[in-house]
Order: sequence, then C-alpha cells, then structure tokens
Amino acid sequence: MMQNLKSEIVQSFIEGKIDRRSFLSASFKLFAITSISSALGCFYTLSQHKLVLSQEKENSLYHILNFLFPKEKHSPGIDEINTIPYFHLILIDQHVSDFDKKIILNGITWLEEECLLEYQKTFFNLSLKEKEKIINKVSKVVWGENWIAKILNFTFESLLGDPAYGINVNEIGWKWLNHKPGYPRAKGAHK
Amino acid sequence: MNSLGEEYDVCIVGSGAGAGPVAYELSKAGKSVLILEKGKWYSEKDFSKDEIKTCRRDIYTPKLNEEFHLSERYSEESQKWESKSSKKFGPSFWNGNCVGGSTNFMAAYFYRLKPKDFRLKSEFGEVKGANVVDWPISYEELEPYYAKVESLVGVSGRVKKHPNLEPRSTSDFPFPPLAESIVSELIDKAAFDLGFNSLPVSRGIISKSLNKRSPCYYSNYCGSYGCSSGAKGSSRAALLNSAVETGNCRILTESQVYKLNSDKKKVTSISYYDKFGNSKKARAKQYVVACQAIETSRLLLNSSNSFHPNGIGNSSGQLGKNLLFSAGGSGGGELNVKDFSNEIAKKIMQPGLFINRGFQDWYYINDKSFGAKAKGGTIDFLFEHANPIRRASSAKWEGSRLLWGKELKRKLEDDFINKRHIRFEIFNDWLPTDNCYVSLGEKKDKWGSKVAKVRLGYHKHDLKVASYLEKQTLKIMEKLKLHNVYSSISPNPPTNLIAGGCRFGDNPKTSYLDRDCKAHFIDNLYVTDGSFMPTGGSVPYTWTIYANSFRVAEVIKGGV
Ligand SMILES: Cc1cc2nc3c(=O)[nH]c(=O)nc-3n(C[C@H](O)[C@H](O)[C@H](O)COP(=O)(O)OP(=O)(O)OC[C@H]3O[C@@H](n4cnc5c(N)ncnc54)[C@H](O)[C@@H]3O)c2cc1C
Ligand code: SF4
Repeated sequence: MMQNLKSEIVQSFIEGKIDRRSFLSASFKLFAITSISSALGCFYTLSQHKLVLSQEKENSLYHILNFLFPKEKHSPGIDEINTIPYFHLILIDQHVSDFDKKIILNGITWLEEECLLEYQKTFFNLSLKEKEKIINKVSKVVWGENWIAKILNFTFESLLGDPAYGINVNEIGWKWLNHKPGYPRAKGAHK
Repeated sequence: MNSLGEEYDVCIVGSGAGAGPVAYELSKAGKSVLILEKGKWYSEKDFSKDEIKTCRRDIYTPKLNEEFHLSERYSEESQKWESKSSKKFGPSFWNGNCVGGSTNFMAAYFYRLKPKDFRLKSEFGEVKGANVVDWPISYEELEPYYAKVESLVGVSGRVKKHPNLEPRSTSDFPFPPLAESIVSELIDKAAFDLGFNSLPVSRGIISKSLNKRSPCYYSNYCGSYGCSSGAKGSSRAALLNSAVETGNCRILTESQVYKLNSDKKKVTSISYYDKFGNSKKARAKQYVVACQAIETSRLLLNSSNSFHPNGIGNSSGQLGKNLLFSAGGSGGGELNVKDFSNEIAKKIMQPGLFINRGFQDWYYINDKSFGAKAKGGTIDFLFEHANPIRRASSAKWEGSRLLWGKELKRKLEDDFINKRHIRFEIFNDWLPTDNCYVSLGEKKDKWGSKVAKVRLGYHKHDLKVASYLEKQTLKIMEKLKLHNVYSSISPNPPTNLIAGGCRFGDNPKTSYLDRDCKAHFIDNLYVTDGSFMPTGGSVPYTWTIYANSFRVAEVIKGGV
C-alpha cells in the first residue's frame, strides 16, 4: 500500500505537476508554472548525455551514501559492500530503466545545488548537523523523498544481494542481519 | 501428417496454465501440437534464488519501454478516466513470459471454486451495476478435472471437513500436505478459541516425487521464483516436458504471435515473429489462444480484418469485456521472538516451512449487520516472502517518514533478527462491470501491434465484502497478539490474478465463447486461459484454469 501511494505521488512529479523547486519556495503555488518547465528541461538535457556516474558525481554519491548508511563497528558501510562500484553497474544495466537512472543522477545534482544555495558548500564539506538538516529538508519534498528511497533501495541490493555480483562481500550483509540465503545461489550477475 | 510437419492438428499460443493441459492431452493422444511462446525456455537448472534477477529486474518479462500496457483509472478530482502507461508508474500486467508462463513463478496456493460460484446470479441475485451471470456449466461438470489436476499437475493438502467444503470425487489429496511451521499451530489455536474453522491450504506443489519431478525441498523462496526441483506445478514441469517427450509437441520459443488470420468462419493461419524478427506463418486445424487474460483479448482484438472489423469473432462486441481480477486486500503483522521462550522463538524463525492456513467461514455471508445474504470470500495466512532486499526497502519507512543513518540500521537489525512477518490475503469476487475491460490503445509496441488499454473500474460492493472479511481477519490477528498490525482493502487490482475478457456462455449475444470455450462465431478457435470466466469465485484462479483447460482438451481431441 505504501508503495502504491508513493507511486501516485511520484507520478505527479513526473507529469510536471510538482517538482523539486517547490521546496525552495515557501509558496509552491507561486512557482508552479516556471517549475514545470525546469523539471522537463532537466530531463531533456540528461537524455542528451550518457547516463554515467562522472568522477564528480561519484564523489558526491559516496559522501551522501556514507551519511545515509554509515559504517559502524559492528555493521557494514558502503565500502565493505562495494556500493559505489555497484552503482556503476546499475547505470549500465539494460534491465534498469533509464527513468530510474535519471532519478539517481538528477538527485545528486539537485542535492548539491541545494547545499550550495543553503550553505555555499558542497555536501562533503557540510558539518554532520548541516548534512542532517539538508537531507531532512530534501526528504520532505517529493523529488527528494523519491530519490533517497531509490538510492537506499539500490544500496540494500548491494547489502543483501548475492555476492556473485561483487557486492555483499563475504556475505557481510547477510551475516550482520542473520539472513539465510536461498539455494541454488546466483551463478553470476544477470545479463 | 508428420507431427513436426507443416500443418499441425493444433496450434497453441502461449504455454502457461491455459496451454499446458491441451498440449499434454493432445500430444498424448498422438495429435501434432505446435506451441508458439513469446519467451525463452528455462529449466530447473537455470533458476536460482537471486532476488535481484528474479524480483527486481525484467529478466522474465518484457522490457516496459518496448512492450507496455496502458491502464485507465477514474479520477475523482478530474471526474475523468485518466490513462497511465506501465512505462511510467502505470501497472504492468506481465507476470512471466517464458515456457510455462506465470506458472513458473506462482506461489501455487490452490483452491477449487464451489458449486455456488457457478450460479452466482441464481444464488445471490443481481447486483446493481454489475454484470453477474451464471456459468453455462456446473461444478459437477468441472469436478473430475479438478481431481485430474490433483494427480497430474500435483496438488498437496489434506481434506478437513467444514461447512463450506466443496464436494469431491476422491476422499483426500494424492500428495500429503507440505511441512508446516509452528505458526500454523498458533493460528489453529487462535481459530479454535474464536470458534472459527482454520483450514489446511492445498498447494500446487508436490510433497513426494512424481515422474521426473523431485519433491519440494523448502527453499524458502517460492512465490516469484522459478522452482529448482520441479516440485511446483508449473505447466512446463508438470505437463509440457511430458508432452514434448511424446515427439508430437513442438515448442517454438521467442515467437511473438501478432495476428490470427481468418476468413468468415475459420482461422486460416497464425502470424508471428520468430526470434530473429522475421514474420512467419503457422497452420493448424484447430487454434488455441492462452496468452493470459488481457493479452488474449488484445491478440484477438488485433486480429481484425474485413470479415471481423472489431476483432476476430467479435460480432457480439463482447471481446475484452467483463475483465476480472481478484478483489480483496492484504495486511499483516509481526511476531516478535522476545514474546516467546527460546525454544518456540527458534521454531518461529525457522525458514522454509509453510503456514498454509486459510479461512472460508465467510465464503457466504449470512449476517444481518452486513445486509442481504451475499457471496463472501477466502482469507489466507502466509509468511512474508523471504526477499531480504524488499524487506529492507519496507523497513526504511517509519509510517510515512524515511529513515537513514543509525536509526535505519537499528530498525533493520530489529526487523531481521527479532521479527517474523505474517501476512494475510483476502480474496473475494471482483464483480464484472462495464468499467473493467480491455480495448486497444493508440500506441504500439516494438512489434508494431497496438498495446492493450485496460480500464480498471471496480464495483463498490467488492470493497464492502472485503471490509467485512477484513473485520473477521483482524479478530484472528488480535488473538495471535501480532505487533504493528496493518491492513489495506483497496480497489487496486492484483496484477497477477487476471481472468475474463472472453466470457463463456450459451447466448452468443452476451458471451464471446460457447460452453466448450470455442468462439461462438469461429469454428476452429478456442480460448483456454482464465479469459473464459464470467465470474471469478473468491479464490486464486489457477487450479480452475488448469481444470477447465483439461475439460476443453477433451472437446478439441474429439474434433481433430
Ligand atoms: C508471483 C505470482 C504468484 C502467483 N501465485 C498464485 C497462487 O498462489 N495461486 C494461483 O492460483 N495463482 C497464482 N498466480 C497466478 C497464475 O500464475 C496464473 O493464474 C496462471 O499462470 C494463468 O495462466 P495463463 O495460461 O492464463 O497465463 P500464463 O501462465 O502467464 O501463460 C501465458 C503465456 O502466454 C505467453 N504469451 C503471451 N502473449 C503471447 C503472444 N502474443 N505470443 C506468444 N506467446 C504469448 C506468455 O509469454 C506466457 O508464457 C501467481 C502469479 C504470479 C506471477
Ligand atoms: S522447492 Fe518448494 S518452496 Fe522452493 S520453489 Fe520449489 S515448490 Fe517452492
């Protein structure tokens, strides 16, 4: 049910009814018309480019995911489960839609823009408190909530998917959460 | 005629539950059978418990940007039917496109319909705004075929007498019930305390070997996954392998059928694209379509020509109409191991075993608080699928708030280590209405065929019945002392339980198929998937689809 509800909201976003700019303004309604063209513009620009994780975006995603899914003494972080290399795989996976890939990439750009606007710093250079504040803010608008949910879901794939994909190294995610895999196991990453 | 020669006795489109029995019966009878299946041919050794591949990517279904569905829902806000594409957020109705179809991936909760389901209108009267009719055949006519499915496809279970038990020609199931979890006992006890009948649920899964198929090894990853032992009664494992072994059945994979060519009274050939994209034709004496409801209606609508301008054999205008899903809802709750002794907690967390408990006390509702006597439904209890990625994805929400950081990690630990999720599913009739049907969209798929446009209207009565059943379910949930109980009754159709669109009946003006599931106006065209059902009963459909396909196979056998 939760998923259905979320899809409905995201649908509005895609159709241009709501967009990320809405959260920049105290009054969304005032900005609605300009924001529509800006959202479509973003999609258009991206479709001209290859959907890849540039070095700059990779750095940014690394710091964002380290914040969202931090390493702890007793629980794995994204380095141990190879999350960043896995995102590169996702972006070239023909079975992941371009639509999802665009959501991942746009979100990184937009979050960094918000950081600059609010603190004149990149996400990496924010204090822990500032990071919490900006993620919290972004999570309350449609694009941000959808984007965080999406990158967390792919992070969970790298945590709990089969090590045959080069993720969940030494079954560290399964061991942490006491999860028993099913057999037969994956023979390798799907093609 | 050579069995693998140019003209076949029978050509079947699709290879799932509707197709398997026809292929099996006819090839065993020495008839030549050609199956055209749009997907690939996988076997037990190809399947694995890879959640990413099986549940999170479109490996066993078409890519949605190439082959998609349009669906229409009524918007209260705009007061209009609004259309969405499955390319973006509209529902997708693909469920498994490979040899054996969706039956490879089903969870195989198998229920028969009951005698009153065959005469819903006579038993319960009209419902305003719904197109309820009686079936042209009775339960008694289908019963021998239900029994045949039990032994041939393999159904495991245990008969327990209860007031709504349907009549059976055999005393018990040919395969003993699958091993059960301690949670089944907890449910039995809760039911006993409440005075309800907790029933063992039968499964289309074998608990002991059958021919070359090994019994279930309790892999813990069943629904949505292909079975590596052949225990699950997929059309492929249970029927098509034997059909092919006769030497009379040929399966052409990656063959996309796009049109049935016809004259006024007969299908003359079938057009398909082979795996290299070349357009080919196949010929047979009899043609059977079993692409799964929606795709079947779409193919028949796309097969229009000068004799049949509105779709082949569609002079009644009934083709695509009265599409059905399964109404109801679902919900769940958590058993927390901290509430139990170590010994019991260990048993609760044991993976692999099944709950297999259901309730049919309210299959018919006779309760003044509800209103007049009415058709009710079935409640099923089951474990949440093991899928850890999906589980973590749900755990990241606290209500409608997203979690991250340490808070997320503590939630994941608590969820995975301390909790076992119990789900329930409610099945009741999705009443046929004028607002639920398949037509052709303007957009085309990668093959150049118009895609299906599915109008997803529902009848309010469905929600009323489902809410009544939900109330009963919540009493059981409460008795089980589950935590974080949630429940949702919704008009959203489950995209994997589909029927109708080519309803059968004796009147050619109000039905597309006759009682033998032959198109009224075409002499050699049969439909054997769930499309024939005029009403769906209050259970999942697959056992009924299998049984009916065995019934129709006998008719076709007589005709070739
Ligand atoms: C995850 C899941 C769980 C389920 N659990 C249950 C359950 O517990 N109990 C239950 O009763 N049912 C269950 N079902 C439903 C069950 O799988 C279906 O009811 C059943 O498979 C329907 O049979 P069918 O023949 O209509 O379609 P399918 O079995 O889907 O077969 C249709 C076949 O036609 C092929 N096809 C379609 N179009 C074309 C074309 N144009 N040319 C060539 N080939 C084509 C498809 O590729 C497919 O292989 C479940 C389904 C899923 C997906
Ligand atoms: S082995 Fe049993 S549990 Fe596993 S997929 Fe097959 S039938 Fe389902």
